[in-house]
Amino acid sequence: MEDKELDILLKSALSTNYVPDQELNKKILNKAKERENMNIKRFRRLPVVVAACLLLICSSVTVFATWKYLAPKDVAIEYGNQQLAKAFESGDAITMNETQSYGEYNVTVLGVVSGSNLSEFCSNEDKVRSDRTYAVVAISKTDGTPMPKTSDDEYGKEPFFISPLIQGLDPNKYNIVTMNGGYYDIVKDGILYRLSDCDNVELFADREIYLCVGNSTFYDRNAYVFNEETGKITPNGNFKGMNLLFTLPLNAKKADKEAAQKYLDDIALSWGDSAQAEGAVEKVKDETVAEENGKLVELDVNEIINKWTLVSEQKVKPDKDGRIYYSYKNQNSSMDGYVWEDGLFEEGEVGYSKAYSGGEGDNTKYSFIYYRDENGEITVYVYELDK
Amino acid sequence: MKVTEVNDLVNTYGIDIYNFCRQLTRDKEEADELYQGTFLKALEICEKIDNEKNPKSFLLSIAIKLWKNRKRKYAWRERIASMENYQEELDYSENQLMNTKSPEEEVLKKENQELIIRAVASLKRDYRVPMYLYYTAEVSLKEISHILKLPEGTVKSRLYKARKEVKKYLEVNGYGR
Repeated sequence: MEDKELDILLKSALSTNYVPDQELNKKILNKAKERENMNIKRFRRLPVVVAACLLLICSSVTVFATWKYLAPKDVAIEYGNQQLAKAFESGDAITMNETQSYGEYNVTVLGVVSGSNLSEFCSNEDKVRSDRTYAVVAISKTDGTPMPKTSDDEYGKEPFFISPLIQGLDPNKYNIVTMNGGYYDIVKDGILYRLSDCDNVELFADREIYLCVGNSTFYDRNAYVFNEETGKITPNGNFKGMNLLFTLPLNAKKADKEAAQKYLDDIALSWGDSAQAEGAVEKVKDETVAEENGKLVELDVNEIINKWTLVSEQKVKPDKDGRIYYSYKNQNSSMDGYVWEDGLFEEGEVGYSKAYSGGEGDNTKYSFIYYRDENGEITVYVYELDK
Repeated sequence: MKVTEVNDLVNTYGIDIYNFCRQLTRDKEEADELYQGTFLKALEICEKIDNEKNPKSFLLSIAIKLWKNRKRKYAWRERIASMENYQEELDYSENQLMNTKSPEEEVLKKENQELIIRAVASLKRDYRVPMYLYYTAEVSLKEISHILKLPEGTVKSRLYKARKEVKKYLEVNGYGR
């Protein structure tokens, strides 16, 4: 079946013509009317609240921050999770209201709570992961101008990476992305609130637990220094970008060494699958094996170079997060994705990477081979082999 | 958000959002809840949606977030509902028999369409959602990447892999025979 034919079939089969019931739309409009009436009432109450708070303005930044920002429970309510809101009000929650600044931004960690069954997060493998840590952070502009709303085009152009980090665990490997994390952003009164969650870090509460805030999409390994001896993580003073670091005052009594070790063992097992799903390549050290379409195959870059057909070569530059984007198209198929530079090459390594990406079209197999020269420049070679 | 603005949104985008919810949930009752929840959530978190800034993508991203968070509740119902959905799809397909050629051709067309729908429904979530966004909600690759907060390259890659798996599913299940 040709790709074009499949495309037409998919359009035809998936373009359904269901219509929502009238009753359903009526309920939505009724709710909108209710809210319109409620908003008027809230506005009348507001001046009283403002008057009371004006008395507090003379005191510390912490108190000002408390008034200025939503409480973590309010952010949870906005998210639609009443259970999590209650958890943020419970004795288990930690209220922080600690602010650090970078450039035009003030970043305030409002609070953290951990627990089971506070949300229904499903990992990428559709597994429910119920034991989680939740953190709420507020980001505002120092000049008071509003942050872009989530519906604005500007939203996301300045990304923020917020993640717990754990003493003793390489933050490049253990962060919110690799620990089944996610986040939810809202913007209220010009302030961005991020509710982030990931697997429960309280297991490691007998170590230092940090919350990093940077202005990248993923963890930037240049932003922080990981001391392999002490396990401590600190901001890199030479880094040109946001690299804020907060220490979370978790209760060390909640640490569970056995559960923590089991978690680390489980997560190490699961990483191979997720790396494959995102088009990344399993890093190869001494063995000449790699994964191709989910199966381990004997890898011989020389065999590919000598026996397959070179169809394209392209010089590429990793982006600021270390990703190398690749793409390939011929008359029958196309493929693109990205891989991580540090997944391909050891530090300072020159020559062909032992790891490669691969794929199959209807009639051909193809491989992406990566070469790094002495200047650090990377070339992607695409080889084809007829099936 | 004013009632008039909500009314405009429902009128303009309601059908697209509803169809997306139907595909995502494979169940009318769940789809109704998700559809309603999507607009109510939009009401809560958005004071004003600027109509020039793609409200459809905004609503779709809310629907996906709500669906991901609710999925566990409905996981057990999916198994029970799957046979009912199949019947529903049959009923829907029968309503589509407008330009009949021959009864045999129409039956074959209906069966093939159902096979394709099942093929897509069997994909894992990471592939299924972009497929519904692209084919059901008819959203561009760029908008899909904004909605899912993924690089455009990753979206393309997932659509490519999804189509490949659908093709394999169809071949294995005797499509067109």
